[in-house]
Amino acid sequence: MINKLFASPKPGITDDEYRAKIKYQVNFLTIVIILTVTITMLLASLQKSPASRSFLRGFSSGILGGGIGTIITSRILFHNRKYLHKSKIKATDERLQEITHRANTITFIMLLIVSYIAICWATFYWDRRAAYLYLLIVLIYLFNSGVRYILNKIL
Amino acid sequence: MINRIQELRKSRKLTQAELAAELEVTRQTVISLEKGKYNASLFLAHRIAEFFDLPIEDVFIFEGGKND
Repeated sequence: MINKLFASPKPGITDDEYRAKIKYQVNFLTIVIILTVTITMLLASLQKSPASRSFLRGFSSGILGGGIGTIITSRILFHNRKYLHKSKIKATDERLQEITHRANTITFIMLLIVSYIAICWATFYWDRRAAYLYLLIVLIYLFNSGVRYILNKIL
Repeated sequence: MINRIQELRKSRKLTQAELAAELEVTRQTVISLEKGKYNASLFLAHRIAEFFDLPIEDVFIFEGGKND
């Protein structure tokens, strides 16, 4: 299941295999969106503060909008063979996969550096308790190691 | 690693886009391969050799320890 959801499509797969993979991913995403929207709407209705209620409603609306967009795009993909083939080539091209992987790694490192600077700034100029946020960076590193270990076992 | 993709493609009067379509990769990948900026995986190398109907070692020439 994890392989089907998260692994990049392998080069050499047929258009129908690619279509089946995308369909599986979209179905999973639809379930996740429905659950997230339901939970956030329920949480929003339980909030007393108008600020947190607005935040949760905005969050669920964003998820719903993004989800509808993804579903519409995938429907177009399923009904247009030429577009599907083009999309498959882009998804299975090994050079593009390598570029995406490198870009993601650089973005991840930059994100950690920016978070570190923001936490430093918050600790010195705002509140000393912000230093506890450093724990989040440690947790992200632990999460990264954990995901690598799991993927190494599965893939 | 050097390759003869450009030479073989031209000898068969194919454009980069046509070769890319045959190999199911993007045109940019064919350009990078021809310029030697990118080394093909074993799968793609096999596919290219199969397309040109040649053994892999006739398309890709390994130059000692160099890997660029």
